[in-house]
Amino acid sequence: MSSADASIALGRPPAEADPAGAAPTPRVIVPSKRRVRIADMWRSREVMWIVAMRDIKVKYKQSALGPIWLFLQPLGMLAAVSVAFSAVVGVDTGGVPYLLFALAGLCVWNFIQLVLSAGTLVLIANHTLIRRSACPRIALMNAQITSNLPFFAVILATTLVGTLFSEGFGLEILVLPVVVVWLMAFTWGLLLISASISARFRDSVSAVPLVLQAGIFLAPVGYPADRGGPTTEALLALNPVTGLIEALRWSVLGTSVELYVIAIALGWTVLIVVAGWRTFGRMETRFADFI
Amino acid sequence: MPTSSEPALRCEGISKTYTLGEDFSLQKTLTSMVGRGQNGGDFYALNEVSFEVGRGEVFGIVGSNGSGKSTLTQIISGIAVPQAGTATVWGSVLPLLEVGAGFHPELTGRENVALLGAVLGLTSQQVQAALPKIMTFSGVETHLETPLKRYSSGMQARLSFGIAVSFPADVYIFDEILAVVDDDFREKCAVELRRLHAEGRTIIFMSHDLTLVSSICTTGMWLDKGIVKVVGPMDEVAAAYSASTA
Repeated sequence: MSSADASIALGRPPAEADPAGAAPTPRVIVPSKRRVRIADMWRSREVMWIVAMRDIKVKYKQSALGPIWLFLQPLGMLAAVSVAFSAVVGVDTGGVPYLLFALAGLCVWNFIQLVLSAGTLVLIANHTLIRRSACPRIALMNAQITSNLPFFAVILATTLVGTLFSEGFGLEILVLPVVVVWLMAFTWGLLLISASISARFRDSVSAVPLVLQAGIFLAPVGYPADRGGPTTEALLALNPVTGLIEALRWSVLGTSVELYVIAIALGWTVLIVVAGWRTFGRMETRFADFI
Repeated sequence: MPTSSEPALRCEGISKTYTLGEDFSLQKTLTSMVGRGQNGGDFYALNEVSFEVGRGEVFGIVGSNGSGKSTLTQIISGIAVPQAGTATVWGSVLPLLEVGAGFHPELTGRENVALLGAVLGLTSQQVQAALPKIMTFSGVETHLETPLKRYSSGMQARLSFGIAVSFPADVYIFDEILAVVDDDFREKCAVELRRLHAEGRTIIFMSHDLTLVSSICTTGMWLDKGIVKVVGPMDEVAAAYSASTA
């Protein structure tokens, strides 16, 4: 190796060597418990975009049916939910066609499930990026939300088209964008918590699928929240996903909704978003150490 | 050969510890519940490390495996946070920690170039401007649309180095990177390093290979088990380091 090494010698720099213009601004690195700022979400949008686009592209690579799965996945869930709750249990949706009723529930549920099941592992899967580059970690989180938006949009669009040709919309539909933003914020908060924890404690890798599998029965995805009587309804209302599903159903299908259910879910959302941001910020400085 | 008295990097009392052994296990959880848990203990990856690199300098850091070179790179480039001390960096840092560092295996060569550019805070115009040079330098033109996981380690190394010398930065850090490429490519790298040096960029070189570092660097530091042994002109550092290993 040494013969080649000698050729690397840089020698004397040219006399007019210009130290690259004016002195650049200094950046100070000190021991800090948290360093990520809300503005970093915007600053890291380019990284977020590249990672999100790739996640969408690789999802169906080396897959014979490719993007057809985009429709098959929700259709399969819709069939399962319909058989279980409409055909077997026979729930009363208050006059709304059952398929639309279930689709509205799946809109919310499917998005949360997609983001959390892949997102909990995203830091572990990208450990080389975390340990070996200054990649902004918040961009990896935001990319999970962005890359799952098309799947959410497909189910929501199907629900909307179905409603348009059967029931028609009420004025409540104008609130739909607010409900969608609410769902995004709630899911983002949950993702920050589960992904940050999984970087340190692999327990959440086992816990999150369990919660997601059990959760579809404990949220009114396929049945109305008031089906089991007032006590059960109150218990269901403690699940923040209940409020989200009820709000989206109300907005699209005009079903009735209890205000207290919405209030509880909104309270949970604020708590989860704040806790998510704080947990992530606190653990992010040490991701490279303990991932 | 410092070309300027302005600093590019200043480290003052940087320390970082890691915990020994597994972080968590069922056994640890149970023993700590009955109050008999014991920590595996901490060790210092970096212990009160202080040094300064002037602007436009080519600074070498030598030390055997486990001396703390990579931890130091992680701290300077903002990947990890120190437990104590202050590091000040003037301008942008471009770290090259190892072959394929910062690459995403599912992304294509072109997308990885864009990703690394975005991570460094470059605009897409800057990335586009650097792309032709990265391609010719690394010789991966025909593989630009291939996912990185299908690259050989040699191709990854060439792409890593091509990106590192083509993107603009104030401080370049090369951690052991020249050890894995062949002689022809090392000569191409040397040409680029000379150009960066001539442009007045600061270059920090890390290696356990003393011959390599002392042939490139004018000033340097010997790091041993996280402690600065010698810092100063490279020949003094080299003499002390080789005396200890002899």
